[in-house]
Amino acid sequence: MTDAPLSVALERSRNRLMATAAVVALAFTAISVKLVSATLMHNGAEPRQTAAEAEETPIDRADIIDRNGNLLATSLATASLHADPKIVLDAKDAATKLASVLPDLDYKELLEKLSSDKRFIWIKRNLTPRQQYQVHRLGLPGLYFEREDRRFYPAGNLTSHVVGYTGIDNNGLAGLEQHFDKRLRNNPQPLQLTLDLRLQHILRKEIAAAVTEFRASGAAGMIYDVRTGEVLAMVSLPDFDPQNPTGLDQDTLFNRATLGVFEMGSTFKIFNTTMSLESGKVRVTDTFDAAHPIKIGGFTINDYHNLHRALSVAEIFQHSSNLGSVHMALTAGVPTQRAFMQKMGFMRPTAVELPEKGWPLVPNPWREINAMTISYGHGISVSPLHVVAAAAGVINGGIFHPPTLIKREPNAEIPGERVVSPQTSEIMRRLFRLVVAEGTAKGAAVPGYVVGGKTGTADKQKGRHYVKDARMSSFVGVFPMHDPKYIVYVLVDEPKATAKTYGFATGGWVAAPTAGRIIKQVGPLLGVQPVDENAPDIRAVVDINLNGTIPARGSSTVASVPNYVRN
Amino acid sequence: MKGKFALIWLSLTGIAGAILFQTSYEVQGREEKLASINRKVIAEQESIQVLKAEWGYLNNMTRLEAMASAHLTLRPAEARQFIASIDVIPQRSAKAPPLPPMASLAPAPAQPAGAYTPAAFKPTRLPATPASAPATQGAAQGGLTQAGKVTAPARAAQVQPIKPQPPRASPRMVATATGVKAPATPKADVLGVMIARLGGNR
Repeated sequence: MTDAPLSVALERSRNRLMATAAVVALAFTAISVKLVSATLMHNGAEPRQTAAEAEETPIDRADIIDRNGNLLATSLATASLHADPKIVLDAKDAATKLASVLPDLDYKELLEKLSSDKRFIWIKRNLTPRQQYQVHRLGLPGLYFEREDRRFYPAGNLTSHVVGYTGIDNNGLAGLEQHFDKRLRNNPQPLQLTLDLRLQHILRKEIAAAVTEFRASGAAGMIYDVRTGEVLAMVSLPDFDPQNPTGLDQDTLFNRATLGVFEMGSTFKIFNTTMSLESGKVRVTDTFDAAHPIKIGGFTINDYHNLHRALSVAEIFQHSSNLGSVHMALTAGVPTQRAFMQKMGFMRPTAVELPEKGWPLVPNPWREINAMTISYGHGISVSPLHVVAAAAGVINGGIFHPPTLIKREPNAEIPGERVVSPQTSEIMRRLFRLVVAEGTAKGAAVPGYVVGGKTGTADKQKGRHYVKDARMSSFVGVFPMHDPKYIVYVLVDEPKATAKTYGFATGGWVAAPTAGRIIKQVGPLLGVQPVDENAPDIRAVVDINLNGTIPARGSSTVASVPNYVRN
Repeated sequence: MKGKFALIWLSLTGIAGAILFQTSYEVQGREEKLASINRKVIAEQESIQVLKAEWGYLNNMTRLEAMASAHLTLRPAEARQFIASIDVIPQRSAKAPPLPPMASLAPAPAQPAGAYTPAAFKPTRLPATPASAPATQGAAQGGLTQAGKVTAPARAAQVQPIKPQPPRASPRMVATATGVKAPATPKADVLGVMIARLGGNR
């Protein structure tokens, strides 16, 4: 009797024990399975602290390099000093000590900052390693360093307008730094440009010399590959140090080569002549009146030096005759001119990869009077890059390539569009050569490189009136003329005449000799083989008679004419 | 029997524990090593970046030009100096001595008289010029045209005097080199390498 309840109780407790053991065993099995799976099956599923560290690259903005791999912009790690004023023990002592090792900091300002109630203040960004060491040695509590990248431009002023600059937080504020801001942040591969630092240096040196010599207010220059549309060098003066772009006036930051739109003057006769020949209504042997000034709407159009006779198309280009150009444009027709200017890209900004792109100023509506002034480059304002890209399209056989600053892959297709027929392009080559050999741009001649080109001088508009003594002198130079490869463009803003130029400050006296000096130096670097300019096979492809006919092979009939014309 | 069993289990557990302990220590050590290597890699990458920037800065064209004009007698090449195309220059033999460093101020090794010059300066390769042209030609080309008319053995002797002198031979150069501050040879070599790089990688 007494056994029964005991055995029942024992039985019950054993059952309970069994159940508990089963539950515990299940739990342990589950844990073991999970353990085996976590450690053996899924190798390394545990997050690794070191892996995260390795992923962090030292640079968070890609380099910019030139076409030969020379560094134009790079990011360097520097330390920035900040403080927590709550933790700084003695603000006065800290400010004195900091001002002693960082002399460019103002003591009073520093003291004010350090005794404020904020929890975070910047003391100085981007310390040099030496400064960092000195601040470290002070051993002040409450001061901290933060690793920051700083943009560094080894080429200095040479590429300031093209590459641009960044702000203190490494965001692009101008130039390619701004245009490719996202690309530079996201892709660590260096961005390779079409620029060549050597050409850039020669161009800047010679243009700066011209600015000094003629006391000009500014200048722009470009070297351009007519076969690909690549900008090999681009300079705008005055320039600046991209490392320290603060406190500069708008004129210094202004890129005259792409953002500035100007009335180009006689360099536009390149396009007027091409347009007239392309229209089919004008042949290069045709003659036009250049003796009688044209009166229209209260204005009188005249030549700088009136030759008082009819001129052939070749002579109009050679002497840069405004009157002849007007007659040519009117013969071709106003709508033809407008359509051609549109085709050459003068109605919209260029395709170049810069945020600083000027919108051309074109007349609307395009009346006859506009057509007349546009024929000699007034009444339409475009940027120098517009002129260079379009001139390349005229001279390279007739294909317009959109200008670019970014180097293409070696075998990439070059975008291009036919704008001029090969025949017209060939005549234009001969006319370009005529201007340097016998015309307004003799100063641009370089023995061996068969230079051709067109000068331009435009009076500047100030307010509503043209100012006589403020002008833009420019030159579009092409070499070698028998197989055009490169354009050298020079534009000098408001040059003043000197005694050496006999009181002239026109394109032929200012820009053309500068372009000549540039070609002389860049020719060997670009691998252009010098040739004898008087060799019959060279003369056969670059000569043109003054009446517009192509000379027979071997004859030398180019007459010498006095050279005292402007533009 | 039961005691033996327990002993075996105990010892197995002990061994496993010891192995685990050692492995975990090893892993910890290796992870520390990995972290330190990663830090070093980053530091190296940063210093490479700094060196690249410094290289770019030292190669600044404006600076190089100033140094070249101060220490060398070289001037920018002109078109008239390229009188022969590259095809005219004979191939060097495979065992040719190495070129002297570009900017080294040591005098060029003495050449046998007219060893290379005749082929490179071969006057027949000059662009043909009409009879009226010689007046406009440079002095050097005029001289060469004359040299072309003499017979072959005499030509070498004729050409020799107009061969460009090595820079060292110019007394002005010696004066500047010793008068200012004689640049140490290795430094000059560094400059030479820089120039070679700037010009040679196109």
